[in-house]
Amino acid sequence: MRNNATTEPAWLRWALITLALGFLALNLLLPLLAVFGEALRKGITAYVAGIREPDAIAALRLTLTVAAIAVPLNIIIGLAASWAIAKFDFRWKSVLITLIDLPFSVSPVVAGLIYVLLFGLQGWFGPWLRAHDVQVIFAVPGLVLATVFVTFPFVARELIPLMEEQGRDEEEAALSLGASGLSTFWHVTLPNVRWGLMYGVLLCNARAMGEFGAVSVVSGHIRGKTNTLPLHIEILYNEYNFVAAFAVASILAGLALVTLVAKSLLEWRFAGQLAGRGH
Amino acid sequence: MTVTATDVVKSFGNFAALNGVSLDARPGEFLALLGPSGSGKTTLLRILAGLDFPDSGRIEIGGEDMSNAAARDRRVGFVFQHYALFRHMTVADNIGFGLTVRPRATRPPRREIARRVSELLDLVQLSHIGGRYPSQLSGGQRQRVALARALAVEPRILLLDEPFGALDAKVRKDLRRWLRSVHDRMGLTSVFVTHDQEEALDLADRVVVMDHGRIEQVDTPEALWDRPASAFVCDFLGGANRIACHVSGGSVDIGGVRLPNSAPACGDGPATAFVRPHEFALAEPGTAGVPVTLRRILRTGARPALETATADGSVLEVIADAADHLAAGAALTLVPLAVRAYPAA
Amino acid sequence: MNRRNGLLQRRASIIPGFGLTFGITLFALCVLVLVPLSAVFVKTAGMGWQAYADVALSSRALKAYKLSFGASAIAASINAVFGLMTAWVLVRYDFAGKRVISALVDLPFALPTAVAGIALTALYAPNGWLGRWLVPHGIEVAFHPLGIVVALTFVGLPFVVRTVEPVLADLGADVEEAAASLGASRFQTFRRVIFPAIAPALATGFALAFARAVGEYGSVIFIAGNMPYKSEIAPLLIIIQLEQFNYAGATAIAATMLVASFLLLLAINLLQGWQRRRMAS
Repeated sequence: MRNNATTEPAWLRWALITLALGFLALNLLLPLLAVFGEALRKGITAYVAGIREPDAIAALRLTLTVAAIAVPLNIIIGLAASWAIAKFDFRWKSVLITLIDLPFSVSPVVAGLIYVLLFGLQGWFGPWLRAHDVQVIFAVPGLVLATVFVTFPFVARELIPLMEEQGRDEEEAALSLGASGLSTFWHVTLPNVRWGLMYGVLLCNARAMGEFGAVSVVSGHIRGKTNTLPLHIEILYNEYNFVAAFAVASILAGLALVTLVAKSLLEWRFAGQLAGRGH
Repeated sequence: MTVTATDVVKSFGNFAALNGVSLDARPGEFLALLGPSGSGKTTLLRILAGLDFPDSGRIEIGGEDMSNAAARDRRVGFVFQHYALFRHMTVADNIGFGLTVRPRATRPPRREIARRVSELLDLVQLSHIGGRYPSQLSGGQRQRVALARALAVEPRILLLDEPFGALDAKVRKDLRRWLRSVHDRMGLTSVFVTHDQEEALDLADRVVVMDHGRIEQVDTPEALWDRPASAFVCDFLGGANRIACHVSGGSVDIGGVRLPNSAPACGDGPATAFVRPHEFALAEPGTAGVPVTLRRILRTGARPALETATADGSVLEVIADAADHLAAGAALTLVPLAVRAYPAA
Repeated sequence: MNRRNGLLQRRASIIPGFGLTFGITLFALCVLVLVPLSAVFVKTAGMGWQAYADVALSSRALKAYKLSFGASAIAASINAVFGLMTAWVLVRYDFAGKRVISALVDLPFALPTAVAGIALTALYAPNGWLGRWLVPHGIEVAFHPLGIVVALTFVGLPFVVRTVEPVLADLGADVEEAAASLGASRFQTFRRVIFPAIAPALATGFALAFARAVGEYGSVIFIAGNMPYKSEIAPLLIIIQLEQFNYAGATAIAATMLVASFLLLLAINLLQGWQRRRMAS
């Protein structure tokens, strides 16, 4: 309960609220509105034309494909990592956690570059890949790799603190009642962390679909073939085709809004079943 | 310094925390606010400190109207239930805080502050740990730091919210006596909140018993014990057996035994009698009194305690002089020797 | 069964699956993160000092680092101030639409950086909603270094807000009441009691925002103007080297930036340790 002893005079309260909201409006809301404003600048017909252009649809398809591979991979890695870290004691655990977080502090451009160094024509495995006619860089596998790298920590980061918080009692109880390891995981652990998992997946997916820097390096920027939506936006923008660029951007902005709404709903409904609200 | 509260009313939403409470603490007095949780005792203490403000009513400290004064202007020492020590400051910095935040004009020089802090560290017997952080202290030590911090500003009155609530039993008892001796030495007016009747009766000059936002009784521990003003007070002080009885013409009838009522006037009709365990005599079955069956004999103190049950199953506790001739299962009659009867609820 | 060699369990557990899950984690970490990252250092180590310095320590690169770190520091500082204010307002005050505002704070996490980049550029371009007011007053944002700060401020805000918010919410009201009853003014209470308690979280949030800003690419390149020596950020240099098929040059700059990232990561870990110690009651 707040009271006179622990709150500020009304004028200061309103001044702070006004300043903070003003900053958020200028810094966050205005850019968001600008996306839709610019997209509709030449009317709805131009907008629809920008979205329905075949290259845009190909980019959308590619973005969905990449996310559809990268996100499940992330779920598997995140579940495995959080199970190992939260349910067992082992040496160097904190080092492992730091390493899982590492991709967050690597520039996306570097994230793309490292795969070029490995799988590019002049890369470590380049000659071998070429001999076997496998293309990684400038193709879908490269996009997936770069996306998995930049989203690597998302699911694990949400699940590790949550599983640590929940402890091991329930799993031990299930096992002592004769459940197998797999059914313990399926019937005990997973239901306990499902909202946290959803939360992590949501953020992971938003990043996977929106990633720009890393995929920009590994994509060949071939229209209709290796361009994801964000890369397609860049091309349209650089061709001064602003309306089309913003029209495509509005799809991603819409996705961002859906993500925010879903995320808020999760936080609101299942606050107790989410942990370590870190990002 | 006198502290006076007059007709204080406070509600939080629909919950009436205080329903017109009036109270005065005399200079140098150690006053206890005793009551179950939700009785309004902590709210009253916080209103005295200026941490909450009453919806109506008046607060005076030393004869000065303080009803609308901010906490920082009241010069009231407040000891929080969970101590509220500043975690990032050393013990010494915690204690000196109140002096260092004074306006420049009245702020003592640095050396003077250091001297006051070391004096207070001596007072609370923590001179050797002034450089430690709160996280490195035991519960009892934190409690003493909180007290020293409150005393550093030379408060006019000292308010303590459940000062021993978070401590274990042994530490609690030691600190209790020590706190009383500090109070006596400083000559302060102190008000403390507790839900532990033993603590209140043991420490306070006078005890204010509260329930549902009202004051039930204000009295010295002796008077409170001898003449509880209401069934609630009698019950809350604890240890008394409840027996249904009938009052007529000022005397109480329990199972055919007629006794004068030791409680304040109670109208004629059915009533609840409170009889303390040592206020029974044992008699053969068939005598006037309360017929019971002996269930167990407990030897926890100097005299044996008997757990007995009436025919309807309610348990009565009796302290007997001797129990060697008794065995569990025996039929007995309890003859009350003194009784306090209150109108049946 | 306390085996002593390397990364093994400290304590036997009846829960199965350690080998499998630990194996998957380590495998994924090595294949996807550690080996690729090590390629940068192996390649850099192989190129010799002179070749490294020619690119990574060229005057153009040094300018770019300076710009990246400088703009990131400014943006993170702005975010520290407004992020703290936002967290404060969200935790302490009630006002209409609070839930919506709270959700909006996470927009930079959800909005693709390229979208943010073109949106900010459109806003601040000379004919944009904001640019048309600012440019006549001599405040040029788009295609100038100031634009970089604007973009980096956009991406960094939620790091500060979301790090400070829980700490601020956990701060007990009783310490503030204690300060008040000891005679502290509201400002003194903030400066002496509240701020020190949230300082580690604020520093962590600053470091996170800073680290993110240093590596940021998508939101910046549209608004920066990308003029060599003037408005060219370090990640862009890598792209430029790659476009010229100068893989060695790109790698050299990447190695330099990675070292900086690792140092930042170390700093963040130390700050978080500080925060945990301070929050210990």
